[in-house]
Amino acid sequence: MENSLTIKNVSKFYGSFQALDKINLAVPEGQFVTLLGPSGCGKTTLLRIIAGFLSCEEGEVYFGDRLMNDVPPEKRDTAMCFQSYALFPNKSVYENIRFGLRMHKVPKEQHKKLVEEAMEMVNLTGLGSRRPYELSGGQQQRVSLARCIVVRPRLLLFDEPLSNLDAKLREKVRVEIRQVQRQLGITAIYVTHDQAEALAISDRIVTMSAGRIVQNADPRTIYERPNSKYVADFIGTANIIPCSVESREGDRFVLKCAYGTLRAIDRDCTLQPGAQASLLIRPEDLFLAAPGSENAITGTTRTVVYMGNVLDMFVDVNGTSLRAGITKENVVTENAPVTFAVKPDRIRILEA
Amino acid sequence: MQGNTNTKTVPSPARLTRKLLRILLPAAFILIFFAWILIPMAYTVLWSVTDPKAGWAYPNALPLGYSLDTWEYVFKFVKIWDPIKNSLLIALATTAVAFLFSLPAAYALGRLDLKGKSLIKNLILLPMILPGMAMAIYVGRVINRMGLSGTYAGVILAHCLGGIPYMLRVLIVGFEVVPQDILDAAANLGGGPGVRFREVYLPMIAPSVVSGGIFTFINSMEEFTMTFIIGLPTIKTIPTVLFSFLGESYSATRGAVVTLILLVPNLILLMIVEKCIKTEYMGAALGKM
Ligand SMILES: Nc1ncnc2c1ncn2[C@@H]1O[C@H](COP(=O)(O)OP(=O)(O)O)[C@@H](O)[C@H]1O
Ligand SMILES: [Mg+2]
Repeated sequence: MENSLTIKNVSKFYGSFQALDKINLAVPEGQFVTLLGPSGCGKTTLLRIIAGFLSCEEGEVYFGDRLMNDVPPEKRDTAMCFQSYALFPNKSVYENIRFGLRMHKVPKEQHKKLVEEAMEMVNLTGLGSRRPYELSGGQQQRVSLARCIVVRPRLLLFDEPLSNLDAKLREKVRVEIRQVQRQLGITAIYVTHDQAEALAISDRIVTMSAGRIVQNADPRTIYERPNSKYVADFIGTANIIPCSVESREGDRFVLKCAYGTLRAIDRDCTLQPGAQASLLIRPEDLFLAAPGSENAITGTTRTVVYMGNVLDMFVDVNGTSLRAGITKENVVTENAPVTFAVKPDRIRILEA
Repeated sequence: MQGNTNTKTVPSPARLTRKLLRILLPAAFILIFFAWILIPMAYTVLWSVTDPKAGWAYPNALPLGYSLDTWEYVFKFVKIWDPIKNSLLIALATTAVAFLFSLPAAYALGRLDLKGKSLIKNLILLPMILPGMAMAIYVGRVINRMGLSGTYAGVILAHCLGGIPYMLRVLIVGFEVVPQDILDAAANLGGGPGVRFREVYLPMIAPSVVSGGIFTFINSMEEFTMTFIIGLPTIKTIPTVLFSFLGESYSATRGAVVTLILLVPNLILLMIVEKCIKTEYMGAALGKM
């Protein structure tokens, strides 16, 4: 499949501050790709370079095989949803959505039909004559989405579009964005600092840190097989502690750590016996077990919080904290001895 | 429960006082404010219809006789229509010139990355803080050098000096507060620089244009010193006529008539604009973004 977007060695400087450091990225047509990272890591900068609002000092941006570096934003055929919605305050909802059609010189007699189609797709039917300030935040973001999709852009861009909405609505609009994008098959680049949102919405997640890409993979790989402590820690909750590699047989490892001696199966790990490493155990991969079973970890519960869907607990294991999330049927009291186990292929070995 | 309802039905004296104050204080302020404006206005109207032969002097609370003689005199013998036309023409032209000059300047100062921007922004305000007479004398010399003394162009240029600082200032702020996101959204959807100017900047700076325009227009309508030094004797405006009645040959009745004539266009303008602002722009300007 052809790549909609290719970014080659892009670097960006604000004065002497380097905001992006040799970014390389290829986005296949029709994919939903999320740029994920903490605030300030350069996500917006990269997105604005793609849209053409910013230029980059080094590197190239290609749409298909066309070099876009010197093409102004209005000729790039992208459409962006902003965190601030960025609707035209003096235009009605209908006129906001129609704007792109006028700019793209779509014949006038088609406007009404196209705008109404777009409004229906984002559940805005009947609100055409309202002004943006007469709408709720969720409705405003839907107008913004309709304004983008009505022109069927080559690239749909999103810069934290849900950050100003409350939790429930965030989930709802998120699903709508994904549905519309699938339905139209438009390639989308989505910026967020919310890892849960990224996992839920993406075909691929590009995890960034301080102007660099750390890992670019599908959500399952990002969550289950993070390539670094940074990614493991940023996505979801994690127990990450130092360990040493005792022995290795193919992809089977024996690790020594504060939780005791653990067996792990990790086909991606290249470390040799004697190496210092970190191990990752997700809280939900721990289960209650009898003392003495394989990969048993014994400790004392410190806090147990009933979360509704799970019991979230912090356990003291030989002075090291272990977080576990087990199903709600179990009854575990605080300050009581407890033994967990974890399957060897659920332990991930990362560089120290 | 019982105690609760009791405190609700019988408010304490302190609460009652506070409640009263909350109503009385604003009411008092509003009264004083209206008195401040309306009493002089009432006097002006009364003076304008005072019979000049009867007069009106202390200790009489009201004029001793009424007539429209002064109105008749002003319109018949002073040829007030020419100064009225001049005033309106000069004010309109001043507003237009000040706007056309300020628009690009304000865009540059409000949106572009320029060195020494804040210094320029402060220098602009200089004409507002210099004494009017001093300004008028020096500007008068410059305009004389340019050979524009006694011409409309000269007077308009001089009036611009009073309006531009304010016009520029509000337009700069108008440009500054346009969110970059909205401009980007327009560009993104295919809007080039021209479209962004017409469809994003212009509607969003409209309240600034209106407010700068009103100020410049009224400022020009009421400008006396500049017109006196640069325009007279060829160009007479309402304020110079007013001055002749209040200065050279004092006549309170004629002064009152001219004052009212000066007031009318300004009041009409304010009322029109008030209506425009309410219906068109307030929503856009105050809407949640
Ligand atoms: N116009 C600018 N001038 C200087 N530094 C900037 C500018 N814009 C962004 N930065 C800096 O570049 C870094 C990346 O910013 P940004 O791309 O907005 O991050 P993100 O969207 O991931 O939060 C931040 O450290 C930010 O402070
Ligand atoms: Mg950002």
